[in-house]
Amino acid sequence: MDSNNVSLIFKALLAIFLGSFGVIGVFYALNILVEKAFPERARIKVLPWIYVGPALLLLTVYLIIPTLRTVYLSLFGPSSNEFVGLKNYIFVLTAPDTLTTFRNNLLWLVLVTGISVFLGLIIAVLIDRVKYEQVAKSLIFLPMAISFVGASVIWRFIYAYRPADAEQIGVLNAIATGLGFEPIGWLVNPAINNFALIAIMIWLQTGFCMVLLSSAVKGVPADVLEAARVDGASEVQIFWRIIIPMIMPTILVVSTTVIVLVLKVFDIVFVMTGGNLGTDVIASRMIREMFNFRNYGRGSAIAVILLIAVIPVMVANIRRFRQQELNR
Amino acid sequence: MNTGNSQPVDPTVRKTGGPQKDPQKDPQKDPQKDPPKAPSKEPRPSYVGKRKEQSNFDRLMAKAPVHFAVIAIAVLWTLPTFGLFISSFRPPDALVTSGWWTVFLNPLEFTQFTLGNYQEVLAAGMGQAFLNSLVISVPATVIPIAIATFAAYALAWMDFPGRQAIFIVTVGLLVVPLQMTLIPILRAYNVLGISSTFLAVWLAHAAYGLPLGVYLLRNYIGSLPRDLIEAAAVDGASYLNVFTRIIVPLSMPAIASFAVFQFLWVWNDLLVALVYLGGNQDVAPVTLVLRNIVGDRGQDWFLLTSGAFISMLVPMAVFFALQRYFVRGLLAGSVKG
Amino acid sequence: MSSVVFEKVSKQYENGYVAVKDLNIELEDKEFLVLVGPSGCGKTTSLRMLAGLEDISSGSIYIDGQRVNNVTPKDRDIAMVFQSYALYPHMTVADNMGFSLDLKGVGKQEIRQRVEAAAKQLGIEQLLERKPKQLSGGQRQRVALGRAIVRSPAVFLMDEPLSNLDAKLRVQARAELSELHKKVGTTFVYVTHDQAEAMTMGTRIAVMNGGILQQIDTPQTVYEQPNNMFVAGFLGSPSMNFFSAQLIQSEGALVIQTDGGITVPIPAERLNRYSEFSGRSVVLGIRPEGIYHPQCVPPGIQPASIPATAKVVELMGHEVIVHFELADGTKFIGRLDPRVKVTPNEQINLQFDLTRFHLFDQESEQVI
Repeated sequence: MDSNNVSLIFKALLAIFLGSFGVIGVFYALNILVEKAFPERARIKVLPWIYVGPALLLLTVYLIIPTLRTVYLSLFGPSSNEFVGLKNYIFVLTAPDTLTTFRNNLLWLVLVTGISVFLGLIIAVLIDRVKYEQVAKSLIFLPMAISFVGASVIWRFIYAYRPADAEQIGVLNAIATGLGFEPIGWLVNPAINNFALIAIMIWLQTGFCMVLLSSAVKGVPADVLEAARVDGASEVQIFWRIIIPMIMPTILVVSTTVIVLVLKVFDIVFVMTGGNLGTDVIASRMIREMFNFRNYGRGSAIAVILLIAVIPVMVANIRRFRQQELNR
Repeated sequence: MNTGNSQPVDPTVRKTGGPQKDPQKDPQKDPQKDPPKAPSKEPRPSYVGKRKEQSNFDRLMAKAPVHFAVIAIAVLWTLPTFGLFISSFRPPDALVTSGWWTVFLNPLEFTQFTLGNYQEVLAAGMGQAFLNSLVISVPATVIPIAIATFAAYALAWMDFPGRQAIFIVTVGLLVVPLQMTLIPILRAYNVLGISSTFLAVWLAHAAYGLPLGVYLLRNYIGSLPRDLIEAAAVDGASYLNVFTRIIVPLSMPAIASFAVFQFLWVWNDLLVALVYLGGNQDVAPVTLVLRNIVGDRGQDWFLLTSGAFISMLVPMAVFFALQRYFVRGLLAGSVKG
Repeated sequence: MSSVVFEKVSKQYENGYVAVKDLNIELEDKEFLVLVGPSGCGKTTSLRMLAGLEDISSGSIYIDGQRVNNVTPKDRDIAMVFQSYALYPHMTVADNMGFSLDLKGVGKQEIRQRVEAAAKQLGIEQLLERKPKQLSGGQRQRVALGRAIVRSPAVFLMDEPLSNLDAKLRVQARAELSELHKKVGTTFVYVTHDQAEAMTMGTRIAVMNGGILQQIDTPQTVYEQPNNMFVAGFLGSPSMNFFSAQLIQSEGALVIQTDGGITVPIPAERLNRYSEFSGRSVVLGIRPEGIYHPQCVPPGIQPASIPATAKVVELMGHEVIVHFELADGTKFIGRLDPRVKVTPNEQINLQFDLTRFHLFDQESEQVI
């Protein structure tokens, strides 16, 4: 290894060290300061703010203020100079290609959430009955660890298209030609490219749903199931009338999580098609407005629409949390 | 009530509406040695009035569809990654002329494999990117852990005005799309001149990870027995003593699960890196470089496959090593948006 | 000297709930005070205020003459044993016991010595390297004690430390605690809801109810001369029988006439005490052990015959608990000698011991 590489690695280690321990050092320094500067009684009042302070600061600077600022910017033109009122929203909500974006997002929402949750539930119930449960689970769950970009590369390979006379290197087209069909341009054909992208997300998310739902299924008390069996319920009836209602809270949590994730889906579309050929979704469209079209007003307006879409989930979360606190 | 011995109740359990057991608690554990689960795995021949003796063969046949379905799904789910793995070792020419499955025509023919793709992609910037990813991910994991744990401790156990409000805001921020924040922060970074620096992404990732971290840790730390903290106070511990000697050691499971979650998230992130690091190749992480390869050299399959695999190496290792913490984090943090 | 003084101490929570009201207690050095009462009576809150874990709403607490209202727990020179023991699960027994010394900056060598000395005293030397999880309930309880002993504090506070032990261990631990108190010779303040613990361990016991101190005195005095109906009913198991009654003059003598129509004469030596209350509504209290079967009346009591029907007979081995009913349906309990056989629905002419009865004012529930 040449000295250049060594110094690179050294620099990297230094950066990791500084970045990681800097923050802990800050806390210790502040704490010592407070212990020295304040009498016992006042310390109790000051210390909490030292401890929550940095979190509060980061949340405010990186999430709260920018969110408000984005709402504000969405009322301005491309470079945020002239006030345009709701024009950006009107454009976004009427222009044909942004409408396609919304249609696509809806498609993603319904298909990814529906299929991942349903499939995850089926797998969760089935997998409970085999001895190699852990191995099978790990395999299905593994895509969770893969980045959207990595997943996109994996699936580009699956969707790879070669002209009919060449040997196919993508699994799907190999199967298609093997069955005597013409090879299909999975990512190019506007009738199917959205579904091809959605399949990637389903592949990534099913493991997540399965793991959560499986732990919920296992959480159904054995004596309840036994009681149902003694009462004469068949396994199918038990599934629909005992298990599903009992794990409904988890199903809801999993669904909302997937919904929020799908609403923000960006990487897959951005890497696979760049949002072209009618595959744009809200989040990728926003990035394109920002970087390709340099229109910050429209970009912000799209972001705000995204925020509005997740507000119901936010309210539900807060409500659930409050309920939890009451039950404590 | 014997809190003396029991670990604090895992707060993760409460949230998801009732999962009682952590399915991944111990991936290594032989499921057969796990008595509590055993009954559910037995076929259930105990219907009143319908009881009949089943032979082993009957039992196997009855479960055959289940085995078939589970195995089929597991294979289907693994195949894409497996294909990429095989492909990444095939010479560039072979890659574009034949499918990866053709290697199994002569499985013992080792000359059809090569490490050349990896050498090429490392030279094409992936090596530097790998380092960059580490430099970005480790501090971007440690920083929010430290900040969130301190904040969670204060929110759970210290009395100050507004603590409930702060926590509710945090819960709300869990689902705020980070897209909302990109434009103003990017502009601020440009004004401050810190865009395209590690500091910029560290802080951004730390902030984006905080709502989850605070939420998860506050719930866990809040469920530690009050007696322990009071006992420490009587024993003469200051607030910082309580934090470092009681809270942190006892919260390790929750801290670990948040750490795994945050690390995977940062390592796999493209959006934050893309926006705040811009086109600066010196600081670009693997995801960004891989994305650029897709964009610029999309037909060079040998670069794509090996590059993708390098980018997946660390998260997969983390995933397999720390799967149970990851699952616990998921169970607790499944409200993250 | 480690005296403890509660001076008009009150605790009111933010939601307005008054947990402790005007508590006055003065403790001498080396006392073993037991705070006893039903749950929610304010005993634990009082202890926690003494420990500094709870703010004091009004009044003062003094330890060794120093007002400690604004002193943090760590500076009060106290040690506390928690109901849950609150052992730090991630530390070994030795680390648990040495934690407070370590925080104080005591050297490793000395910590080790003091921990070992305390462990020896409690017979847990062989457990020092274990984690709390690997200990039985009784062992944990000892470790919690050890953690307190190691510090040699001015005051020992204990919050129901035996309630998580099984019945057999509890009896044993009771004796050990009393012995420990003698050995270490410091002030103990002990909270329990278990009257047996209170009676057996305390040099004094303080009975609390509804945040108010009902009576504080030696166990024997509190048992034999309860101040009011609450104290009378709380201590003793089965608890004291109460009959609402009138104090009236009948045929020139002062008698108690219960609402059930039973008439009990006032013994001569108590006539002076009760004469001024003639005509008042009162409550007659008599403990189950003050009721005798006619065949087993010991000498030296003043029997009064009361006819009653035995309803339920509980054989306990060393005694027989019998649930009786008077003609009008009033129920009460007697603790009888096991040598006489009592069968359900048997009519018995019970003998009430008039040297051991209590009279309370019906309105104020105070003893008269």
